[in-house]
Amino acid sequence: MTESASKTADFRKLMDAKFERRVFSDLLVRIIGYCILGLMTGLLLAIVGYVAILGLGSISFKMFVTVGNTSTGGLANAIVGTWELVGMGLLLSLPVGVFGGLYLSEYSSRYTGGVLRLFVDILTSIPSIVLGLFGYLVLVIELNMGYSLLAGGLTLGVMMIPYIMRISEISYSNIPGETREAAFALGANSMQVSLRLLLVQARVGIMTAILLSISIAAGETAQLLYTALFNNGYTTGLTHEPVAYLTYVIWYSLNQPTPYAHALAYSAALVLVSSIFFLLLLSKYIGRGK
Amino acid sequence: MTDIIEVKNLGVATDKQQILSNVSLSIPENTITTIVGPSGSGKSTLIRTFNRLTDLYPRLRVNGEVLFHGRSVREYKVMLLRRRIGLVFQKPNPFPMSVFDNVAFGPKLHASLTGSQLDTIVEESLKHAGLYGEVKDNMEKNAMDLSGGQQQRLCIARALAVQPEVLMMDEPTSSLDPIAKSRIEELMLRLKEDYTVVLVTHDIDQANRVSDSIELLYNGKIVEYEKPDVLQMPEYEHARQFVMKLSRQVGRQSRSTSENGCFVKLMRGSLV
Repeated sequence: MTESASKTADFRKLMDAKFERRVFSDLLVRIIGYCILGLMTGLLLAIVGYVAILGLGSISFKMFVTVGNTSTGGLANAIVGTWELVGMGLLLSLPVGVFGGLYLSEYSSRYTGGVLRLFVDILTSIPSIVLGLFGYLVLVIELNMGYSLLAGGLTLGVMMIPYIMRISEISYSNIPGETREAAFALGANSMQVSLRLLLVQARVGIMTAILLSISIAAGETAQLLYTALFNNGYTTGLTHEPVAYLTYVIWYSLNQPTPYAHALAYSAALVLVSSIFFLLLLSKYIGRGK
Repeated sequence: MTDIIEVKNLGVATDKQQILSNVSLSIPENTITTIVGPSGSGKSTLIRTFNRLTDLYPRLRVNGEVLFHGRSVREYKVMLLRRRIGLVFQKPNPFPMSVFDNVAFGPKLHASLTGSQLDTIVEESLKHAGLYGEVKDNMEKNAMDLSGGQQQRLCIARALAVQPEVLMMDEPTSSLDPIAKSRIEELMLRLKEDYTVVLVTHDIDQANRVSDSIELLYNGKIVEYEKPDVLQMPEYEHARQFVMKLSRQVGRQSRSTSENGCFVKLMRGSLV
C-alpha cells in the first residue's frame, strides 16, 4: 500500500466512526421539530376549542341583529363598529403603507431607507396602550375629535401602517429587475413604472398585507379604550360619537355578574376569532397563486 | 449611407473598474451592426449608453459622446430617446400580463390612443415580429405561458410597438433553442429594411450570418481587427488570443445547447 492510500484508508475509518452519532443528531432535529409542532397544535386547539365551545353554547342569531350595551341586547353595534374602525384605519394606512413600501423598495437611498425602516419598526413595537394614550391626548383632546370613529380609526391606522408598508415593500422587491429595465427601455418614467407595472404586479402581496393588518387591527383593545370608548347603539358620525367594538364587549362583559353578559362575551370572542381566522385563510388563499 | 448613431471616445467606469475606454464606432442606417466580444467585455454596457439605460445605475460614470442623428444623446429627453432606440434583452422578459397588454404597454406610455388605434399597433407589431399568426386567436393569453422563442419575439414586438428607429438586441438568442434562434435571425434580416439593428452577441457564427459590419470589443476596447497585421501587433496580443478562444467558446456553447435539447425531450417524455 502506498503512503497516500493508507492515509485515505485512515480518513475513511475516521469518517465512518462518526456515522452513528450523526444519524442520532439527524433524528434529534426532527424530534425537536415534531415536539414544537405538537405544542403549537395543542395550544391552538385549546384556545380555539375553548372559544368555540363557550361561544357556540351562548351565541344566537338574535345577537347579530340587535344592538347591545355589554350586559343586555346583542352584538350588532359592536360588529358594525369594529369594521367601521378598521375601515377608517385602512383609509389612513393603505395609501401611506402602499406608497411608503414603494418608496422603500424603489426610490430610497441606503440612508433614507434605513431611517424610515427603523422608524417603522419602532412603531411596531410601541405598546398599544401607549399608542392609545397618544391618540387620546392628541386626537380626542387636542384636536377635539372626542371619543369617536375618527380618533379610534386613525389610531388603529397608525398601528396598521408598518404591516402594510413592510409587506408591500417585500412584494415590490420580489419583482425582477429585468421587468423594470424593460419598462424603462420602452420610455416609461418612474411614475409610470410604479403605477402601471409595480403596483399591478405586487397586488397579491399588497392584498395579503391588507388582510393581515385588518385581522391584527380587529383584535386591538387598548388603543380603542382611550379613543373610541364604547357606544350602546350604532355610530353614524365621524367625531364626538363613541364607537362600539367586539374586544370591548369581551373585556367588559366578563366583569359583569349576569350569565347573559358572559354569554355576550363568549359570543363576541367567537365572532372575532372566526372572522380573523377567515381573513387569514383568505390571505393564504390569495397568496397561494404566487 | 448616413450614420444614425456615432460613438466618439466613449468611456464608462465605476469607482473600481474601467468598463469601456476610448470606444469609437459608427452605425449606418438600415444595416445590422454587430458587436461581438467575450462575456464581460462591456458589450451590454456599450449599447445601454445609446438609450441611456446606464442612467438607471448612478455608480456608472459615462464620458465621451454618443450621437444620435448627429446630436448627443444627453440633449434628448430620455423618455423620447428610449422610444426611438428600442432594446431587446438577453433573457426574454415579457411582463406577466396578457400578450395584448405586453405589446400595448409601450404605446400607452407615450400617447392616449383609441381602442382601434391600439388594436392596429398591436397587430402590426406582432406581424413585424413574426408572432401574429401564432397568437392572433388568443391575445388574452398570459405571456408567461408562451415558449421561450415566442416570448422573445413578443419582446421584439413590444419594442417595435413604440415605433423606434433603432432596435438594439442584446444576445437575443442566447437562451433559445436552435430553431427559435434561426427564426430570430431571419427576423433580424427582415427588420433591417425598416429599422437599424444593433446586435450584441458572443456567437461569432451568428455574427457572420446576419451582420453588415462587425465590431470586436475586447476588454472594453474596440479592436480594429480588419486592418492588415493589426492582430499581429504586440498591443493586440490579447485580442488575438480572444479570437482563437472565441471559436472554442462557440464549440462549447453548441454542446450546451444540445444538452438543453435533451432536457426538453425528457420533459416532454414525462408529460406524455
